[in-house]
Amino acid sequence: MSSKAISIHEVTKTFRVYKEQFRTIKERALHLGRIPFSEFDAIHNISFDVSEGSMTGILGHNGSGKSTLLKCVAGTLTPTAGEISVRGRMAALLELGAGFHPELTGRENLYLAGSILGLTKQEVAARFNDIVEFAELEDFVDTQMKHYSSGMFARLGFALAANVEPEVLLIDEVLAVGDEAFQLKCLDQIRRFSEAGVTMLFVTHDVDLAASICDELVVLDHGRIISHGNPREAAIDYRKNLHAQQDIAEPDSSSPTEEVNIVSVALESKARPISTVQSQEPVSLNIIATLKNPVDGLVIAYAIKTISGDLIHSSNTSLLGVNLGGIGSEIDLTFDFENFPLLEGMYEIDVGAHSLDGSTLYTQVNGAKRFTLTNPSKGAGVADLSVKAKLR
Amino acid sequence: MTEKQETPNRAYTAGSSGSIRKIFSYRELLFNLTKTELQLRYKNSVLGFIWSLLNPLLYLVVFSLVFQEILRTQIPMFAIFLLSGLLIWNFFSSSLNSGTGAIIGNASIVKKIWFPREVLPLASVGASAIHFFLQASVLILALVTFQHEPNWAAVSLLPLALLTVVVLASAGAITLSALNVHYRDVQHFLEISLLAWFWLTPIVYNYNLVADRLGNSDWIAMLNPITPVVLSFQKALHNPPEGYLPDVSLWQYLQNLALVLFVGLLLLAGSLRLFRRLDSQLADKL
Repeated sequence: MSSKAISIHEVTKTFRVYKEQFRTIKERALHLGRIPFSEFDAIHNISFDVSEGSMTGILGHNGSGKSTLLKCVAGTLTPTAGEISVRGRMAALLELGAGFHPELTGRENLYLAGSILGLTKQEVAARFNDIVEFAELEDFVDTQMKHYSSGMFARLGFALAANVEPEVLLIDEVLAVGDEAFQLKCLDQIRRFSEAGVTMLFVTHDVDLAASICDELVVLDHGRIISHGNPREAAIDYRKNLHAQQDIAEPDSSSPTEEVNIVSVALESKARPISTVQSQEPVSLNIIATLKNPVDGLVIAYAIKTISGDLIHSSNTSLLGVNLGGIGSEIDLTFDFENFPLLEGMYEIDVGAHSLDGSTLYTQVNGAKRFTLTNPSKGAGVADLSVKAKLR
Repeated sequence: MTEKQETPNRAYTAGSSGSIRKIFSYRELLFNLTKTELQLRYKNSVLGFIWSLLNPLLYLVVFSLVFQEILRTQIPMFAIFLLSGLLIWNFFSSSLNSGTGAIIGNASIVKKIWFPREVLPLASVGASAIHFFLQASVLILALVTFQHEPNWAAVSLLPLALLTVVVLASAGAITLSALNVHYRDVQHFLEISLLAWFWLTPIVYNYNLVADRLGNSDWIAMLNPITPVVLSFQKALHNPPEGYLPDVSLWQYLQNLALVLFVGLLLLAGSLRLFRRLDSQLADKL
């Protein structure tokens, strides 16, 4: 079934930016008719649909209108022109813990915030234990929330929203909170929603995350859609757009010669982008680079590092016997790993391009891809050596 | 397959009947916000809600001292007379006062989550109503202590009088809460207006004192919509001898209340329409 759950039709939101805010009648009278302001469209003529049960990600740089669009869908902002319709019970995670009052206890807040989200007292009561358990706040539920840490605040917020049982869920950049374990838990929950047929609209900066979990991506730039569709292609468009804007470059990227540009670094599993690697499963590292001209003896290399910067493993096309010479415009390269025998944690991949003898560095992107690895086996350190203990 | 509701979000939607339906579907939130407002008012205070009882008691002591001992007012049972009018006035004025700041005070929620925002000022009215009932216990205590017999026939007017205040206060709170987002003057203007309004309402003095001076133009005194409400409370609970309150039949009291209620309902419908119009800009302005 693919009827539309969210339909956005030619939506524009115009904000007036006043040089100063004149809020009092006196000030308004003094500046009557000549309050200096300029207008700008935070989003301009946006149209797309989200079909029922699918997940659409919205990508864009800061100020591209992502959040404005989401607020319009949520109904907290009213579009200046156009129409948005949403079918089904909607929950918006515009900010985790919005609606929580610091003076009230966790328990009191769940009932209050629950009713803001449209739950009845009975519905909150029925979910109460699940929510508290999910948030891992069993011991603090009767503590005033002003004594909570920001992580605890956000955890309770997500736990509540996760238990609203929405048919349509709007998520704005909320997964950036909490520790790693909780982020994974949130992602799991989002996957469960996805399996349960919840329609989701997901705003994020994290291209890899978006590409890995969304069915479709919408890329915004200055309030306009520049790409919409297949997550992999849209993510590449997004990266190309970022590169085009020199002021917002990739983290720590240097391209001394501009001969070679690395536009996308992604991890894939079973032909889908991922941001969490399972240590026992096959993983592909996909690198897309653009060239101005064919480069003789071009080598593309990668280095897998711990978050603290220690090298774990590195290799390159030359060592692995792939010749990149003679390829004209775009290189779409894949390194296939049979498994990833590392211990659980976060890792980074640096990617670079250099000449065969190493004398010329064309480009290097440090921290091009950061990923989380899950591994059930125990141990400390980095490498997962298969080991058994026994008494002799 | 369950029926799914379309929730369109366009530049302008629905009239006042639509808003009432929406507000009703969020009654649970209204109840919770009311509870929260009461909880917050006395959180971390030792005496808690006893403070709300001390407020009318303090008024009682001060006004009794000034009016009975210094100005030598002739009203018998002045304490009961004062409380009869003062408590219902407090309900009205505190509804408007806290209702005006309701949206600005909850800006963080308003900007993040959609719900009918009318619920916020209405919760202020709700919290003030609970306060009124708490404070009424002081009045009942006074009636019992002084063994003062109310006018039982007139007591039957009180539910209608109370409803009238709820309607007027709701209309006022809804209007002011939205206007206050656009013009922050509203709360300052309200403060001085309520002070003037209090002294223009026969609460510390009796109605006839003014009506007698006005002679044939005594209808002017009735232009104050709170006056018929206050008079009904005084008639019912204080029940003074002839000459203090308008000496007309209870039927006349009922008619006056019904008229004010009718006007109040029109104002409420108007306030809901106004709120709808301003609603779409609220989040931009906050």
